[in-house]
Formats: sequence, C-alpha cells, structure tokens
Amino acid sequence: MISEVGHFALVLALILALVQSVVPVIGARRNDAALMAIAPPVAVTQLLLIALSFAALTHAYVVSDFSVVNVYENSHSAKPMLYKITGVWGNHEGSMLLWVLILALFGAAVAWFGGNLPTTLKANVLGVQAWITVAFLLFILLTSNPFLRLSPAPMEGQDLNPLLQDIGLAIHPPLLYLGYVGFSISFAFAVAALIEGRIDAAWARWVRPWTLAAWVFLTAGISMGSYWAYYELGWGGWWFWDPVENASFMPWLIGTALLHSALVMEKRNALKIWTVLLAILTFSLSLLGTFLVRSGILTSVHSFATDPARGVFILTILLIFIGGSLALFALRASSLQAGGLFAPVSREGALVLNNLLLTAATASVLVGTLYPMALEAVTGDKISVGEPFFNLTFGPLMIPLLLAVPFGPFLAWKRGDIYAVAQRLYAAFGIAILVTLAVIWATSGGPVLAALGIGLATWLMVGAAAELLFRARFGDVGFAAGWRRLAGLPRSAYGTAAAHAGLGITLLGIVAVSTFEAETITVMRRGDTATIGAYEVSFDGFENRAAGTYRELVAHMTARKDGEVVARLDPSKRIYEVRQMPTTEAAIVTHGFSQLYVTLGDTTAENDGITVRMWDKPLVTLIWLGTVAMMLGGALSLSDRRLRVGAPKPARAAPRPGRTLAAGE
Amino acid sequence: MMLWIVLAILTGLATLSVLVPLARAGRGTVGGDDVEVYRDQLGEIERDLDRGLVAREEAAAARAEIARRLLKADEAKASGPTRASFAKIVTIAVIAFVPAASLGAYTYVGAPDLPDQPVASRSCGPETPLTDLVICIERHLAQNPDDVEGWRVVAPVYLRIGRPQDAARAYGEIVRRGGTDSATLADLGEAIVIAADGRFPPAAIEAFNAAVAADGDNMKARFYAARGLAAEGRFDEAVQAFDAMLANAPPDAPWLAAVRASRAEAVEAGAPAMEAPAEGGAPAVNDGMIRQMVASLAERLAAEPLDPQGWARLVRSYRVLGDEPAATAAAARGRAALAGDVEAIALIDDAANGPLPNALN
Repeated sequence: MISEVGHFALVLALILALVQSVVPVIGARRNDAALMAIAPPVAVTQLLLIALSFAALTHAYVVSDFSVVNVYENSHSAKPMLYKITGVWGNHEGSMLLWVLILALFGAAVAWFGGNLPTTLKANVLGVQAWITVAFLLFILLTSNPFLRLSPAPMEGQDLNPLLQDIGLAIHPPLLYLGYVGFSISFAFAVAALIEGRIDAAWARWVRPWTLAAWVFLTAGISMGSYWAYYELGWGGWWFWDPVENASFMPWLIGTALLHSALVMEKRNALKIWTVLLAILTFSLSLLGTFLVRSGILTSVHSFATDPARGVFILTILLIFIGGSLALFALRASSLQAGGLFAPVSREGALVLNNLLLTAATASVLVGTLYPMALEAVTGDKISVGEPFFNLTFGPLMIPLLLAVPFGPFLAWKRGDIYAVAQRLYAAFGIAILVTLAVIWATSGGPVLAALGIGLATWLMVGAAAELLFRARFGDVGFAAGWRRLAGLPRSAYGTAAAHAGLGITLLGIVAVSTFEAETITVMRRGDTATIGAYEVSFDGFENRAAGTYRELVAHMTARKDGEVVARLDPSKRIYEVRQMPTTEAAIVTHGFSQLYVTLGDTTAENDGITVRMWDKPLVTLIWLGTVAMMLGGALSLSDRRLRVGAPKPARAAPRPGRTLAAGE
Repeated sequence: MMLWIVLAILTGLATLSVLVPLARAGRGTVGGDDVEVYRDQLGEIERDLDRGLVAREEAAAARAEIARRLLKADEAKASGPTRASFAKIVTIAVIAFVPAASLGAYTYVGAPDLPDQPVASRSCGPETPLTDLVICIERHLAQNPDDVEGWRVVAPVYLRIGRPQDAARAYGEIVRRGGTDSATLADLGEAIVIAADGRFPPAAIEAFNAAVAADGDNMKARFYAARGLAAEGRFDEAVQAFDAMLANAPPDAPWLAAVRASRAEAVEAGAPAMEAPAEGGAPAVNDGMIRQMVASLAERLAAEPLDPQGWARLVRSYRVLGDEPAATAAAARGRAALAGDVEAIALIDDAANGPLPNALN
C-alpha cells in the first residue's frame, strides 16, 4: 500500500503543478489577487506530496520490496542499509525523483522566503517554476516511473552498480542536483521578469541569493564528484573532461558569470538584459547536463540510463524550455530598460571582462563536449576530444581571467583607476614573482610553465588577502584600528576574498600535481619493496575477504619513510557477485596536503604477485580544499544580507586627470 | 479499501490547499502589497544606517531610489484594473479537475491491487517460481547451515545456473559436515575445476584423489584424477590411468569417448617426453588443430561475450572434444554473460545438453 500511496502522491503533485502553472500566471496577467494567492500554498503542498512519494520509494528500498521494479533492478536484500538508502537515487528513475523533489523544495522555499516579493512577480516565478515541475513529473510518470510493480515479485534483486556503492553516492548527486535545480529559480525569475516586461535592481537582490546558494551547492557537487572519481575509479586522476563532468562544469562556469553580473545589477542597476540572458543560459545548460546524463547519449560511468524514448522526451523538454525562453527573451528584452553607464575601467568593467571570459570558456567546453557527439551522429566516426583540446582552448581563456581576478575588487564602481589599483597590488605582484623565481630555482631548470602557474596561484591568494588588508587600511590608521576595521568588514568582502583565494588554492593543487607527481608501476611479490617519491612501500601479502555482496582480494602493504612506518595500505580488488563486476579500491594515505595513492592491477599468472600502481601526488588535496574555500566564500556572501539597493555612490574624489587614460600599462 | 481512503484524504487535502487561499484572498483587497515591500525596504535602510552598515550619503541615495519606486507602485495600485475575479470559475474548475484528473491518471498508471511485498514477509512455498528457489534454500541454509540435505539440493543447481564457485562452496560444506563419500568428493573437485575455468587447482586434485581412495570404482573420480595428473604434467601416469579405465570398461560405457579424447590429449601433450602410441595418433593431430580454433573462439567470446551462437558453438566444441568440465564451464560463463536473454540461454542449454553432431565422432 505504501508504494501505491507514493505513486498516487506523485500523480497528485503533477495535477497540482498543472494548476500552479496556469492559475497564478493568469492571475498576474489580470491582476487578480485571488488567483495569485494560490501559488505559495500549492507550491508547499507539492513539496509535501513529492516528499511523501520519495519517502514511499525509500521505504520500498529499506524493506527490499522487490515487487517494485525499480527496487528489484537496483537493490539486493544483503546490501548494507546505507547503500539501500543511497540506492534510491543511485539509478535513473530514483534520481529523477530526487531532481523533482529538489525542484519542489526550491519552489516551496520561494513561497516561504518570498514574503517581500511583489505579488505579481511571485505569482509568475512560481508559475514558471511549476512549468518545469510539470515537464519533469510527466517525464517521470511516462518514461521513468520508479513505482512500476512486478507480479509475481522476484525473491531477490539485481544489486546496485558496485561503482555506486560508495558513500560518495550518498552525497554527490543530491549536491549536484541542488546546484542544477537551484538555477531553475534564477531562470524562473528571469522568465517572470520577461513576462512582466519589468526588471529593476530589486530583482537582482532577490535573484542573487538563490543563484549564490545554487552555485555553492554546485561547487560542492562538482568537487565531491571529482574526489569520488579520484578515489573510486582508481585511475588516480581528478578530472577527466568527461562529458558528464563537463555537463556539470558548464552551468558552474556560466553560473559564476551570472553571480558576478547579478552583483553589478544589484549594485549599479546595469547589465540587466545580460543578467537575464545569463540566468536563462545557466539553467539551459543545467537542462542540457540533465539531458546528456539522463538520455544515455553518453557511455560513461554516470549514464545508468539508456532508453531512446527518454532521450527524445528530455530533448523535447530541452527544446521547449531553452527555445521558449530564448524566444521570449528576443521578443521582450527590448522592453526592459537598459541600466546605468560605466567607464570601461571600473568594477563593472572588470565584471564584464569576467563575464566575457567565463562565457567564452563555457563555449569552449560546450564545443568540446557536443562536437564529438554531433560528428558521431552525422558521420558515425567516434572521436574523443580529451585533455589536449581543453588545454588549448579552456586554458588560455583562464589565464587572463585569473590574472585579472585580484584587480576586480580593488576597482571602484562606475569609474576606476587602474594605475592606483596596480600600485596597491604591487606587493602581491612582487610576492608572486618571487615565488615563481623560487620555484624555478628550487626545481633547477624544471618546467617553467609550472613555476609560472604557481606564481599565478600565489598572485590570486595574496591578491585576495591584499584586498582585505587594504580595506582595513593598516597603513593609514595603525595596527589596532586596522585590526578593528578588518574585523568590521562586511561578510561579503570576506566572501569575495575567500572565493578568490580558493581559486588560487585549487590552481596551486592542479599545477603541483600535474607537474611534480611521481608514478611507479611494478609487479610486486610478497616481501618486495618499491620506492615512490620519498616513500618505500613493501608488500606484506594477500588476503581474501568477503563482505555483503562482494568478495575481495586485499594486498597488505606498509609505507615507510626513512625506515619509520608511516602508514599501512590495504588496496583491494573486488568482485561484486550479483553483477559479476570487478572494481578496484585504491588505498590513499594523506600526508600534509599530499597523498600517496596505490591501486592494484592484474595478478601474475602464478597468483603469487600483482601489478601495483603507485603515485605520490604532491599538494593534491589543495584542489578540493580550494573548492571548500570557494564554497565558504559563497556561504559568507550569502549570509551577508545587507541592503544593496541600486543607488549610485557619490564619487568621493574626482579621478586624477590623465591617470585613467594610462590604463593600458 | 484502506488504500482508497488514504488516497481520498490526500486528494481532499491537496484540493483544499488550492481552495482555501482562493477563498481567503477573494475576500481581501486586490493587488498591492508591493507598497508594503518598498515600505519594508525603507525600514531596512534605517536599520542598516543605525548599525553603521551603510554610509549616510549612500542611505540617502537609496532612500530616494526606493521612494521613487514606492510612488510608482502606489500609482499602479490606484489605477490598477479591478475586474471581476475569476475566483469562482477557478474554484469550480479545481473541485472538478483535481480529484478527477489525479484519480483517473492514477488508476491508469498505478497498481492499486498489489500489496507491498517486503522481503521479510516473503515465504517460500510450492508456488515459488523455480528461479527463486535457490534464494529460498540459501535463506534456509543461512539459518540452518548444518542441513546437509539442503546443501545437496542447492549445489548442482548452482552449477546449472552458472555459479560454480558457489557450487564448490556448497559441496565443501557437505564434505566439512562428514559427507565424505566418493561421489560428493568427486562433485566437489568437479565444481572447483569448473570454477577455475577448466584448470586443476590443488584442492581439486586432492578431492579427486580422496574420491578415488574412497571408491576405486568411481569412474568420474578416476577420470578427473587422471586428468589432474595430466594437468600436473605427469603425462605417462595419466595415460596409464586412462588405459586402466579403458581396460575394464564395458563396451557401451557412456564415458568412453571422453576418456579416449583425454587420453589422446595427454599423449599429445606428453609427446616429446614419451613415444606416442600408434593408436589415436591421427585424431590427435586433428584434435590439436580444433583445439586451437576452439581456444581462439573462447578468447574472442571473453572479449565479446554477447554472442549466443558463439557460446553455443564453444560449448558444443568442448563436448565434441570430450572436455565436459570445460563445456560446463563455458556454458556457465555464457549463461552469466547473457543473463536475462531467455532465447540465448535456451540456445546454450541446447548446446550443453542436446545431441551432438556426428562430424567428429
């Protein structure tokens, strides 16, 4: 009965979403308060119904009810309870249910926190949000229904894809979806603004927190996914430019642009039309990501869905929403008032540069992701566009962007003085140069590009700190007063600094690990010792183990440094019995910010030895710690709820003549 | 019945969540809490100013900006059209549409008659389908691991459904619980060999030797023990063992062909070490060629397992060569690779159990 109640709740949610997608929008058009008033409570009821549905499916997984096809196909009664629960969204149907659950959650959040939204805007936003809900609920009920039943029910399930039986799965998809789906709110706001033909800085004030929240979640989701792939797939890589990764990276890039342009709009009432376009593009790319992953058009670990009916359905959703919103944009954008003016060298100008570069970078990733598919569709040739393509296209776009990042926060709104900014940043620049030279000296003729990369990372980190120190004006007011000023800075300033420094931290990790990584592949027998980096790893023998739904061959190893035991490593190879699928479990030891990473290959023919792959990865954890700093920055900025009305700041002092023209230096 | 009551309550609550705000707002004023929003913002400026979060001149500029918007919103409110509300029409439409559409759509996609069937409530009975019987026995054995009869039932089934490792484990359980009769030991060895893809791990050889020791007339055990000798490279001893079997064999023994083929193989493999007897020389050459072809077929199938015809051919080839363990192992691997494809499995079953073509016999 519980499964059927869940199924019905999902149908009922669809019907309510239909009501919500029509009635409030008509109400907003006719200025009819009664019709508009239904949107918030219906959005909340929808959330409750979808949550009930999700709970019912989870219940079916927990008690292993194999009369539900979805449970039969993706679960097993002997699976640990944690993976029974995470298995709910470890498959196509369940993950789509999670998708709409989060969509409904954001809809309800607008209803809860949107108390100070103008009535018509709120009605339209919730109406547009309901359109998306209708589309995806229809998709679930018609092509991917997790509540289909099986009679007679089998006694045992087919188990979950072993790669997905991991704690990473418990966290990665929900975070990613919170990000993806969170951008639906900015999209709904953008479309609502286009419908109303009215947009002002207040609009950006409402949109920015949602965008920021979605961005923080997406950052967390991508970072988590990258770390998961790193330790679970056993290839030792942390980013593969895999289409599925790109699918989440593109909304992140363009969402980052949106975040910054919404800032300009909120503060200065400028870049309005551009911000609306970015909001539409960000969610469009989220939908594209969903399409790529969910249609089965890609063959990769993530694509646990393969069904052309689904692909066509999602493609239709994609075309309607992206095509429809862009058409609406083309029709109505001219009716929106353009905003304030600004000089090219100004905070706004810097943010435009940020937007241009991020958009171009997104385009390069988009081409690299879609071109191979288009080519395969047209000619049947399968090509793969890997790292070299992205290094040649994405890389060069990032360098000027990263170089420019520290300048941004220093520039004044409306008209800035780049010469003055350069003066304030000379110390940071000097430190970056010194670090570069030091790296070149320390690696004695090592790769110059790596030294420059580390220099760039230093520039980002020191530049971020310099902004805070400058704003505290230690030089002018002395240490004690400076300290007070530093503590009194708005949280958004700390947010900016943390996020920009995080970028530098991640870059440092990337450069260090791609240049200074050591790797050894060797066949080891009991008692053998291999050297990797500063470590000696000895092989102490095999052990066969069995647990839950798998058997595994564990290789016991000991890592020593200067004769001292630093760590025990137990890399293993597993066979998941039900699916007869092998996986490798890497052993990872973290020392400082670096990691020792060991995986197993094939056993020797006589079964007495095994191929062992070992990496010493210097500073690799910085890649993810940097993203944590970025998230922290986003959260700090989100918690700063100061009023940001688009009121121009009176110029404090006229710019010194002649200086603004010297901007090119 | 209970289900329908719950569904009715849900439908009622959902419908009310539309109707209540519709009725409430219908009584209130039309439009215009935008003015409230801007008043709130004015208040917020004052609070920020008090806390020193914004500068005085900034606050003044912001106040002016909001005041402008407030005026505009006020104008809009005054001039806003107050047409007759659609509330009544929407109320009727919602009362008609929500229950009808949701219950209608649900009866179309749902299965209201099916009860939940959590695994804990499932019992194994005569109506349990064959495919699930193994799971029933497994659960029973997990509770009563000393039930030797249970292990005896499940072991051959494991072999049949392509889980030789589990079969070996099951026979091992029987042996561990005192089932050390010759037949069980031979079955244990056979399962180990199949699980090892036709190779002879020491445990298997040990089992066959024990089986022969327990019953010298167990032909299956003797056959495997002899093959085990060959696998260890003791070809002359293997040939002797095969010869001993052939010497006392009834002329219509079903295993004659298999023994002859294995003997020929041992002779061929041991050829550099000893004189090949004239008898069976020619077929051995043929055999070698065929073996090569079969090996390459097996390799190809390992790389591209989705080939039912290929598996059937491989199984049949092994049987023609008299290598029953390899045939059983191949059939098991084929079934595992094509699990779910009923036709393909039937094809493999046919190859494993059906009559053989005469070409090579």
